[in-house]
Amino acid sequence: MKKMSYEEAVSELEKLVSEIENPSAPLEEVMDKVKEAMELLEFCRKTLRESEENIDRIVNSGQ
Amino acid sequence: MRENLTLSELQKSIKEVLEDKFFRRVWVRCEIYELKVNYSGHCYMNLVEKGEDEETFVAKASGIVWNSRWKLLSAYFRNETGKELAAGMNVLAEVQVQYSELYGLSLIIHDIDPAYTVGGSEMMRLKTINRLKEEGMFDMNASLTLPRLPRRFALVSSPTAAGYGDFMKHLTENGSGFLFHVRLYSAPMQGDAAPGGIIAVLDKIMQDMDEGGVYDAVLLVRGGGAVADLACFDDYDLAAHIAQFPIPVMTAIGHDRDFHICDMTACVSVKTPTALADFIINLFVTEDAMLASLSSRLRLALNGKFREAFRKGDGIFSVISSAVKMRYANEHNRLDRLGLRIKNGNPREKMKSGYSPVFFKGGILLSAGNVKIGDEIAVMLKDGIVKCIVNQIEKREQ
Repeated sequence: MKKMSYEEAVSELEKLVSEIENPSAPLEEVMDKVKEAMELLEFCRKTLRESEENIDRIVNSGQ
Repeated sequence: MRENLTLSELQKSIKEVLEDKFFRRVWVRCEIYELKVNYSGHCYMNLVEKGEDEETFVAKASGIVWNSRWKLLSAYFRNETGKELAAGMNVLAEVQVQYSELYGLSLIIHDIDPAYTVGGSEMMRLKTINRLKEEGMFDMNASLTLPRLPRRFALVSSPTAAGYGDFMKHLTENGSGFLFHVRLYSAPMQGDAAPGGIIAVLDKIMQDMDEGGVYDAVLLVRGGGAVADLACFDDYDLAAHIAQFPIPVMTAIGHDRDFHICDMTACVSVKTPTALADFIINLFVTEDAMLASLSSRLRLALNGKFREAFRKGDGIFSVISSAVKMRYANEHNRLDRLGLRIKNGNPREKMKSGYSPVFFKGGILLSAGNVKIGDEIAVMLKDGIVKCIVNQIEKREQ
């Protein structure tokens, strides 16, 4: 997977979730999409955490 | 009454004897003790010869250079030696002995040999310098800009030359760990073979540069030696090649006391090979210190800015801070909600709570209208598949 920005990843995640929720989607595809969505969710959480820690560091170093 | 003469008769006969003996000009070695040019432009000198103690006079005479001669002679001397004729100089002067009944003995000076005053080899040096200046070459290499941090060098020296080892050791074992790329171009570094040998090597460096080699500077390095050994660095051709070389040339030739024409036409010249290594390393040390100072100033300035922002107390900082916190909280919520929706949409999770997909002919069965009594369908559960035969269909309004 190429390195995505946080915003790109969240937007991709939202698209995947909508597809998972579509009742007419074939089961096998849904299972794959669930796996992909879980990975993407983990990536988003990690990126958000890192960005938050960075901001904290900048603010604290200025105090 | 005894035989006698008038004073003027005596003087006249002295004059005749002297003029008879010295009817030609003679060259005289002497020192100019005093020198004055009077209002009419004639130059009057007191000429002396000192004893071995260099203090007492053993001879003394007046010298005169007439106005018209003085103009030519002083200008020529200045041009040839770079110095003004002055008291204290030893000179070789061509004089006409003249005796006057009124003023006594005078030496009328017609010429002064500049070579005598500055020495023969010094004359050659001055001629070479003047020639390089006249041909517009003297400052050519010096007008090039040495790169701020030069590190790739073509080193012209001889592995056996005094100073080569000192230079390399000093440069490569510098305490700061700076790394340099040095390629040795070996050349004879003393005697008559040196100018031609060094010029050949300079041509080779040019050729290597044409073929893609990159150098920041050429270094000409040789430790101290006898004056005669180093005289080759006053050679016109060599000095001219250095002057015209397209990248900066840095020289370190000889001892503290030596300064050659090659040093003058180079871009940078230092006294000794070790001093050259120091010069190069110092460029890096200085840059390093400047960067460290800039970095610390930047840190201080940034800290200052943050403190200033806090001190202002106008709430801007806390407003920004809460806005940032709010934004992050929203994002975390957004991800939590997406996570929940994935969980709810996950067929395996649904099976755990009793929702099971029904398969018919390889696809999911979504409508009661798609099967008839007797068809085989499959129900997927979290831990296995149950195959069933349809024996009743009850349709519902949606």
